[in-house]
Amino acid sequence: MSWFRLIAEELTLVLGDSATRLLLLGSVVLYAFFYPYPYSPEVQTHVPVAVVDLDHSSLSRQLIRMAGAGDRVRVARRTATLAEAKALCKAGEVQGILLVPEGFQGKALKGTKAEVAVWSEALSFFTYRQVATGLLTVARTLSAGIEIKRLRAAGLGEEAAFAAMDPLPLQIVQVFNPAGGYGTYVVPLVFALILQQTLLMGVGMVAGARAEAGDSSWFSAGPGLFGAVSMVTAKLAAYLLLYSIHALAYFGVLHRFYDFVERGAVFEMALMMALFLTAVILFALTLSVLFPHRETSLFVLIGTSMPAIFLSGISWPVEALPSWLRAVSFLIPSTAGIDGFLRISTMGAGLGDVAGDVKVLVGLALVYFITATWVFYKKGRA
Amino acid sequence: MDAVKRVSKVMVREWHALVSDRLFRLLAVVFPLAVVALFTAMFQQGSPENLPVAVCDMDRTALSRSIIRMADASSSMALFSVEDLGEGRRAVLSGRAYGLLVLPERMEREVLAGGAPASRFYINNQIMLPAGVIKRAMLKVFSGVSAGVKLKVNLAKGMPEARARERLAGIQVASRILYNPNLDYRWYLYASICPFLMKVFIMCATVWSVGGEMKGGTVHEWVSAAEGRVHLALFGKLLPLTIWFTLVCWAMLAFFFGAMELPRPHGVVTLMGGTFLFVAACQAAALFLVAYTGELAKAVSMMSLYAGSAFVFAGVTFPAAAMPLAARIWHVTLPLTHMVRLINEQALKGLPPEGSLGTLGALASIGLVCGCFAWVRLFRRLSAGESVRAASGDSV
Repeated sequence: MSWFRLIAEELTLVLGDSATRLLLLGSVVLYAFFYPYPYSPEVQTHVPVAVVDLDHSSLSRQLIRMAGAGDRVRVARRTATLAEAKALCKAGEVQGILLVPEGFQGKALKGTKAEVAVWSEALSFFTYRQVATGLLTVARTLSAGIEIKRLRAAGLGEEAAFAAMDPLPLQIVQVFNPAGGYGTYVVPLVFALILQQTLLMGVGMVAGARAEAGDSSWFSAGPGLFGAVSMVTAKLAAYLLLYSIHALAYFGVLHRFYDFVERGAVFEMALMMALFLTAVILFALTLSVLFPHRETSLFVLIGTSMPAIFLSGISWPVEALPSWLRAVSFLIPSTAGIDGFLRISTMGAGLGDVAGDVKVLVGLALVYFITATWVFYKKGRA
Repeated sequence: MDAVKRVSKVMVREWHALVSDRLFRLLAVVFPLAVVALFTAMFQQGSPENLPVAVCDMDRTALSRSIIRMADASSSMALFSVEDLGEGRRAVLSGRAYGLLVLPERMEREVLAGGAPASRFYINNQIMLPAGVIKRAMLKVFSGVSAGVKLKVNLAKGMPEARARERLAGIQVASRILYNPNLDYRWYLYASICPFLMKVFIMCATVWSVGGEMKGGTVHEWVSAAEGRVHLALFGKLLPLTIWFTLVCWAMLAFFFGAMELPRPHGVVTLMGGTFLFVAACQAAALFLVAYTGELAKAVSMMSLYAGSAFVFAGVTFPAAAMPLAARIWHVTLPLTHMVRLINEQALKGLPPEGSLGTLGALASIGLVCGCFAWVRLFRRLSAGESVRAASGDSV
C-alpha cells in the first residue's frame, strides 16, 4: 500500500469515528472557547473592601475617597469598629480592610509618625495583590503629597523635594504582559497543553478501539521493520497534518481574536511548533500500545494535565522543583515544548535563546521515533 | 437483614474487581496516591526561593554593590551579573533570569549630590507567579535602601536621630495579610490542587466502575449479586468507593495539617463531614454522566470536560468574582468549588461549624440533585436489561 494511502486511511479512521472525531477535532474546537472564557476580563477590578474611619478628619476622608477612586478596590462597607470589619471579611463580604486610627490627621500634618493599617485577604493571591497594591498605593500617594508639600515649604525646589522624599526610586517595568492580564498569561499555556493532551488521548483512543476490535493491522503496513517504519511515519504525517491546522487556528487565528500579542517570528514559531508536535505524536504512538480499550487512554491520561502544566515552568518556577523531578519532567514533550514555544511566541525569543528546549525536543523525537517503531514492529508481528 | 446481605455480596464482588481489574486499581488507588505524592514533591518550598535575577551594574560603587548584596540576601532572589543590557535581555528571554535589574551610571554620585537616580527592574510578567514574588522582594530591598539613605542625609543635616527616623515615611502603612500570613503557596495552590485531583479520580473510578459493567455486558451478573434488587446493586457498588475515597481524602487533610503546616481547624468534624459530602457529590456527578450518556467513551469525554476544567472554574487562581456570569454559574455547580471553600473557611479562616453551613448545603445539594436524577435513570436502564442493549451497541 502506498505511503500516502496510509496517511489518508489514518485520517479517515480518525474522522470517521464519532468518539475520536469528538476528541481530536470537536474538543479542540470547544476548548478554544471554553477555557479562555472565564479569563476574558483579564484582571479583577473593584474588589470590595471595608473602611474603618476612627479619625473622622478631612485627611482621613480624602484617603478613603482616593481608595475608592482607583479601579483596584471599591469601598463596599463602612464600619464603626475593626471587629465589625473583620467579621465582614470572615463572612466573605469584603476582601480587605482599611483602618484610619484616631489622631491620624494631626500626626500626618505635624510630620510625626502617622500610621494607617491595611488588612488584605490572601485566600486568592490574585485578589490579595489587587487589594494590597490598591490600598498601599493610595496611602503612599497621600503620604508623598504631604511630604512634598512639607519639603517645598522648607524651601526645596520641586525636583529636590522629590529626590529628598525617595532618593533611590525603583521603576518597575513589566515586560511581555504589562497589564498583568491573567488570560494573556494562561491561555497560550493552556492552548499548547490542549494540543498535547488531546493528541495523547486521541491517538490512544484510536489504538484502543482497534485493539478492542482485534484489528492488529493498525500497527503494520507490511512485513518487518520497513512496515513498522512506514506505518509510524505515515501516522506521524497524518496527525502532524491535522494538528498543524489546530496549531494554526490556536496561535495564528485565535490569538488575534483574543488580542494576545504575538511577538515571535512566524518561521521560528512554526518550526518550534512542528518539533513539539512531532515529539508529542511519536510519544503518543509509543504509548498507544498500552491501551486495550477505546476509553482507556482517557481514564489513564486525564490526571496528567495538571502535572504537565506545573512541570512546564510557566506557572510554578522550575527552581522550586527537586532536581530529580526536573530531570524526569523532560520526558514529557510539553516541558520543553511549552517553554520553548511560549518564549518565542509570547516573548519574542529567537531559536537561539531556546536552544536548550530545541535540543531536548529533537532528542525526544529521535528517542520516541525509535520506541514507536519498536512497538509497532513488535505489535505488527503479533 | 436480607438487604445487608445483598449489599455485602455486591461489595465483595467490587473487591474482586479491584483485585483483578488493573485499570480500576490504577484509578482508585495508584493514581490518586501517585499524583498527590508528585505535587507534594513539587511544593516542598512554600514560596519559591532563589529565583534567578540578572543585574547590570553600570555604577560599580559601594552603594550599587550594597544594593546587590541586599537583594541577593533576600530568600526569594538569587542575583547574577551581566555585562550589558543585551546580555541581560537574552538572560530573560532564554529563561536564565525572571528579571533584569539595571543600576544606572553615576548612581552613588547623584545620590550624594541630592539627586534621585532611578533604577529599573524589568520583570518577565508572562511568567506571573515568580514575577510577583521577585517584584515584592525587590521593592522591599529598594524601600529599605532608600530609607537608609534618607536617614543618613537627614542626620548629616544635623537633625536629631529620633526626629530623623520619624521623618522616614510620612504615613506608614501597617500591612497585614489575613488567613495566609506568609503567602504560603502550599496553603493556597497545593491545598486546592489535591482536592481537584481527588475529584478527577473519584469521578474516573465511579464512571469506570458503573460504566464498565454496562459496556462489558456484565450488568446481569452484577444485579444478580444483589438477587435482582437494582437499588441494592447500585448502593453496594457505590458504597465501597465512597468509603475508600472518603478515607483517602481524610488522610490527605491530615497530611495538610501535619506535613504541609496548614492551620488546624477548631473542630475537625465539619471538615470531615464536608469531605464525605464532597466525595458523594463527585460520585453523584459521575453517575449522572454515566446515566445520561449512551456509551462509555462519551461518558468519559464528558467527565474529562466537567472534572478536568474544575480547577479553572473553581476560581482558585483567577477569582470567580471576576469571571463573566455564565462562568460564575458553572462555578457554583462544581463540588470542587465548595470543597476548596470549605477548607478555606474551616482551616484558614477558622470559622465555627455553623459558618460553613452554606458550603455544606451546596455540596449536599449537588449530590442530591445529580444523584436523584442519575439514580432514577440508571434504575430504569438497569431494570430494562441494559446488558442486551450495551452488547449490541458495543460493536463499533
